[in-house]
Amino acid sequence: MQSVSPFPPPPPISGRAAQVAADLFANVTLALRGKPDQARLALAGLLSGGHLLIEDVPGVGKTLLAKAIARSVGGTFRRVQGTPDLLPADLTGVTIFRRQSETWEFQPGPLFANVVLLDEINRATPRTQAATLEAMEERQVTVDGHTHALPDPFLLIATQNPFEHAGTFPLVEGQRDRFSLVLELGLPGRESERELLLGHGGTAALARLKPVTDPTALANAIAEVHRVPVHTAVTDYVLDITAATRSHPMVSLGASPRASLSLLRVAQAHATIVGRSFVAPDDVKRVAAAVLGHRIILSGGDLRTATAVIDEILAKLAVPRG
Amino acid sequence: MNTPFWRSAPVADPESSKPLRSAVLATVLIAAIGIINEGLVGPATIGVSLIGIPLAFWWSYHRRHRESAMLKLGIAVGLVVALAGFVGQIRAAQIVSAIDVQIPLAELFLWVQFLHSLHLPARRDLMFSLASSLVMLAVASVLSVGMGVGVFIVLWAAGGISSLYMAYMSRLQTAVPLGETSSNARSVAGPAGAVLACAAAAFLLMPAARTLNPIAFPAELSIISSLMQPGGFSNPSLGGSGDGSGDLFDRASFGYFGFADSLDTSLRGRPDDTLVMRVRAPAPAFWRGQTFDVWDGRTWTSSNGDAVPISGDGSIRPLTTAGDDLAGWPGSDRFVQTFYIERPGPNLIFGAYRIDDVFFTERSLFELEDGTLRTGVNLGRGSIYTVVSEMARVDEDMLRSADPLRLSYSGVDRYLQLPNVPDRVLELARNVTAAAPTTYDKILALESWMSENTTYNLDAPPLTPGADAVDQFLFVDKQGFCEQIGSSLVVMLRSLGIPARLVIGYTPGERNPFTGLYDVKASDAHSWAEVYFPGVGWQGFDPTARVPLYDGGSNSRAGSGLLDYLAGRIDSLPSYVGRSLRVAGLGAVVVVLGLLGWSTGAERRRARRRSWADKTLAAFEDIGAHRGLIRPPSDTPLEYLESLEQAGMAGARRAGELITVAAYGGGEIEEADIREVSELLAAHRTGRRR
Repeated sequence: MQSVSPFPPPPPISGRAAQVAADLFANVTLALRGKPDQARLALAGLLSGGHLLIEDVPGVGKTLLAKAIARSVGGTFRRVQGTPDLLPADLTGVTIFRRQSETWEFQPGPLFANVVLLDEINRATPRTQAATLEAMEERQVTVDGHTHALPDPFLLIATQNPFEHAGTFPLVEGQRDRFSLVLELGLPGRESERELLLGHGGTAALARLKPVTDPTALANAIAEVHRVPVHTAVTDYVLDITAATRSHPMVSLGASPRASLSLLRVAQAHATIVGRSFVAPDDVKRVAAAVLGHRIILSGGDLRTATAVIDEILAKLAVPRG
Repeated sequence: MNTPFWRSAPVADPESSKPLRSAVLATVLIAAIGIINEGLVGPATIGVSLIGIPLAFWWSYHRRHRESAMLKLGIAVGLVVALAGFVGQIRAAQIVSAIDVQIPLAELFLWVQFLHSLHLPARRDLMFSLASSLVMLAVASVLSVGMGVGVFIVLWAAGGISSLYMAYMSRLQTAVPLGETSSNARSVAGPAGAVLACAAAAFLLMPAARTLNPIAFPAELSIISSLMQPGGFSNPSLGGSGDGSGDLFDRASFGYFGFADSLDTSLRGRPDDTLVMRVRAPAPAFWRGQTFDVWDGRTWTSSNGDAVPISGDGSIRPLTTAGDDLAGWPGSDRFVQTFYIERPGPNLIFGAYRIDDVFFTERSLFELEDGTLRTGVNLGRGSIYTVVSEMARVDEDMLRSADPLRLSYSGVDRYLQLPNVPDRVLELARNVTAAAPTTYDKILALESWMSENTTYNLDAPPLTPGADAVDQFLFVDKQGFCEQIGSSLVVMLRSLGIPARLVIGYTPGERNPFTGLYDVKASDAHSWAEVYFPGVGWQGFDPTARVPLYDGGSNSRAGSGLLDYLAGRIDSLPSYVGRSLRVAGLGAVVVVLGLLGWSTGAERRRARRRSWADKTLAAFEDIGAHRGLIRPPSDTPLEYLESLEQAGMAGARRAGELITVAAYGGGEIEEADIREVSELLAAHRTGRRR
């Protein structure tokens, strides 16, 4: 992945979204050292109003990142560990009979929080995984015929180890498509690992993190991000990219229209994070692999990964002139 | 891909640029017209080239997204059929000459080009078309003996450069900015100039083509019309019946009346500058036509008797050696000359002395006793024949050591014949040569006397009735041209007992360094003397044009004589170019110019709408390209300018941000920022560092 150069003094931007984004970024990177690009991507996913799937081997800071985001946001936070015996009701909640008042009362499950961390989602059964679909897409939960709205904002951060096979249930396409982006953390650099050993960053820093915003401000910021202006040339660029995934010879299922919309939203959020009041093609380019990589299906026999295919498309596609 | 092989599958990377396809089409057509212009290919092939290739280009443009195995199969079958047709033509024609192969080959190339044009989905297919059009141009050049093909070479180069440039821009997925900025012209002009310089250097230094290990030589008869009298003489260039008799010599004709049965030195002709033939030969030589041996004081005739028919299958070898037996001679070379007839002329086979073999499409020739060869048909425009001569290397020592008393050649006596020659001519010959010990020195003495005491003048006064032509020239007029000079030398040599004869033919003409051929004009017709040296053979001598002693040398470089040639043509160049363009290239020029105009116009219209961001980015791209950092189209403006900043161009990143804001942010850029970027650009354009 290309490194994002630090942008010099950002041009003036109106609204509080940029301030919220800058504060979140500064806070999260206190815990997650040496990975500014990944932190930026994760925050772009959240500020776009989408959900986040963090994929990587154990021990690179998946949970750390999720917790750092949750703690920075403030509001309510719930953590669920995925296991084979986890049931849908364990997530959504149950309706119980109150003997005192002789009424059926809904007992909300852990999904009813501003930030929900679903650790090792692929260890839960497909039935339990499917229970999150409505929550992720509709931001509501239906139990026993009654629909309950989830708090605003609602952000689901799931983690999984894609290399673990025994006792896991791989996410189906529909489920993956609900995540606005998939993040790979990768191993830290030597400097960052040294800092970790010296006690800077990591869990030690996590404990000291203070919330820099509140759910209301975050919801406002997300709404503001959706209004970041997009030039037609950049819209064309987004459409070019998704169209290219559909006609690419190695791809058997290209990106969906939902993927196009997601790409645009995440790009808007990315622009806000780097301090721009409009979307540049650079924003689309930075986030495209993370947004589209998990949404295309490669034809069999190809050894390349989906993100490599997206990178290849980006390297070929001309950037429309404004 | 689970598509069955016969179904259409999408092409991975089709080429959609119309200007590029049009430029390649124009280039291919220029090459095809170049071949057709040589007038050798048949009407079916012409139709396929001029109509079929454009249609095929159009069709393959519309099918560029589809890959069809059936189409490829069809093309493959078509190629096999074309090849079979070629082989059939080769086998049907008894291959006599190289032309018999070259024409079917040219047709085959045109058909292959057409078939290939049916399937041009990708850029590399277009580039293949471009490469094979170069082969067609080479074929046209091989078929050509004139300068007409030069127009096509120039046009093809223009079309080819445009095509390559557009293909490169298409590879970068950038619109073709033909004529947009001066930098594009500069970047094309630099390499083009270098290529031109290299080509000129190669042309000047490259060894001239030599004929080696011949299998078949060019030979061709355009219109075959037999002569009335087999073995007789014909010369259409003289007008009238052209049989060379009596008063039919038409002074308005372009030909030389010496090409006839007799040569009357009292006649005053003035052959003009009509191009009569082109000769491909490794070195200049005198192209001999015929000889005269009987002199009556005014007119030369021949005592050769009747012509004897000789025949052969393609290659015809003369019977007589006419006193020269060069078989055992240590230093002799095969000297191959091909004659391309441009205007109908005498039915003589010309060639450097001594003709050993003639490649001629008719099976028979006629030979006279002195070795003169005549054809039984008229040699019209477009006729081609090849002569292989055996040339002995001689030097002055050999000629001096030749023994004048060893007149081994039995028929040599007739070259000593003399009528009553005025005494003062005999006396002059004796006096001039008194001090000369050998035949060779005597010839040199006579030649130098004549060059000192007589003048060469084409407008010599007419011969007084009853006067002896030689006497009149040497003692009365003291001016004349080749006939008087040559006749005088022969007569004086004969009076000294040295066998000599008058030869009629052409001087080498002028070598055209571009075609490598000698252009022979009617006014290059000439007569000179030949002297027999026992043991060496006949050797030409000419006080006016100086026949060179053959030493085995040849034109060492292809471009030799280029400057002289050009200097002699500066005046006539505009009319030549104008004529060639009109005749050959007008259509192709219109195509290329129209294409360029269209591209330029489209670009102009686009340029008028360009924004500050676009122009500024283009300016940075230009500067970057000069530093070897060409912007990949997939780079965003910011990414590209960051890479420029990393390459040491301070301030580029800041400019990149401004460009991004202007291009995609819809925001106004402040005057100060615009000025700052302009200053940055100016500083880097002039090479200064800020």
